[in-house]
Amino acid sequence: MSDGRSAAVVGVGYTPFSRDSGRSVLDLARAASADALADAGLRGADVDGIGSFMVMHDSVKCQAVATTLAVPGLRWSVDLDLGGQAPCHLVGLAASAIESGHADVVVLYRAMNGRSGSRVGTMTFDGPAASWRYPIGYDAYLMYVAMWAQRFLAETGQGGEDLGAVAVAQRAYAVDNERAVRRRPLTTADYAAAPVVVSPFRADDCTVEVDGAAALVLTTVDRARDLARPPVLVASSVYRAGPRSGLDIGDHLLWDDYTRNYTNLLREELFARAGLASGDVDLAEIYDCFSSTVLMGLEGLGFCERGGSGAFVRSGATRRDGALPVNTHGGLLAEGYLHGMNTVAEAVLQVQGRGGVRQAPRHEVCAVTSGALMDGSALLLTAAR
Amino acid sequence: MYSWVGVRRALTPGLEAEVPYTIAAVDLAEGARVFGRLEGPEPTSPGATVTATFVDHDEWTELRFRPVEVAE
Repeated sequence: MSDGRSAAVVGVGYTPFSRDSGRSVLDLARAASADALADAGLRGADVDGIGSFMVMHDSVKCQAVATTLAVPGLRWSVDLDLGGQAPCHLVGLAASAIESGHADVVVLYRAMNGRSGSRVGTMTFDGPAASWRYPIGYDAYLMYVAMWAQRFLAETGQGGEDLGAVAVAQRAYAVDNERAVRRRPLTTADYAAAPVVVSPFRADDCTVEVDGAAALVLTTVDRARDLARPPVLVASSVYRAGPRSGLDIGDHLLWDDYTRNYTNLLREELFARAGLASGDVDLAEIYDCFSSTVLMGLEGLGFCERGGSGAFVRSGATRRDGALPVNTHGGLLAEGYLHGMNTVAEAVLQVQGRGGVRQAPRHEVCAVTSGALMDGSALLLTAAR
Repeated sequence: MYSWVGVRRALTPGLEAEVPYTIAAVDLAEGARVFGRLEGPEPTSPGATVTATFVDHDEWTELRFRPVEVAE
């Protein structure tokens, strides 16, 4: 593999995020993908690879979206049956295909009517594990993440004020993000005044389901140098599922330790692949369907000592002027629940220096994660020199 | 009791009359982990010793837990 075939992200695209798009999922997917291609200075005619993911048939297949983009043919196509674990994994798969010559220009998208249509938060999963959860009222993804959060907070000596610090810090970014669905400023007092939905979570600890789509375009770094935007190198990508990771995304019955998620498992390989260390990272975009996963990710990736993530966030370290800006789009908590494809897109914009008023001052190396519990994926994205 | 969640708001239709309720993750003395409803007020920390009870419903039997002592 020559350096010239190294994979780079060269464009990002979005539709607006809303509670009721009034559009088909296919149209959302097409629009975000076309927007990403235009951002890169490419067209459907340039594309030879496409990838996406969906949960319980809540989206549209790659073949259909390729058709709407007038792609002349496909050499690479991947439809993953995964949720929030998928975005970084999908970028890694696409990067591998590009580096091995199996594709030259790849579009990746996540599209869904996640609010007005199929809602993952209260979806009934197929399979035998669901049959014992649902009758006792253990029946929403929120509860599974909460079950981990309770143990994590208790065992690491942290609490609700640490969760609240995440929500408050991220909202400060969202106030300046026109895409975010929650833009009202949030104070610690506002946070604490809202009732608990499922302990330990209050409303502001939870993402907001939305309709919308986001897309990325990847190609070789050689080709990227002739395109419209600064190339963002995929310096490292890792997927990991731990042992006994369950029969569905809510089945954590056989997982031993609710205080450590997949980020602990993939950290070493993630940094080794890029020849970097956690101290080299300028900013991080950490998957946050719920606030607790930011704390677990900060500890899992080694940005904080175990039990130190809450104090880290409360110190202001994750703010724009802090040591490690985190979730500069406001996170899924505030921008909306596009299952983390928007989190990768934000990372790309930041590394490109296109973050506007939300731009992190240093943005050469960005860590990104996808997923919350037993399995997930992560990237190191770096500025091409 | 390894962990727990207190459900204050029903998230699926049909459970409105049951909130608030607690779901506990319980490590059995025999070696497995199971989930079940926990009777009584919501705990504030993990670690309580609980005991199993069985509640018959029309077509199934529910494994439910109740505290047997106050956690540390």
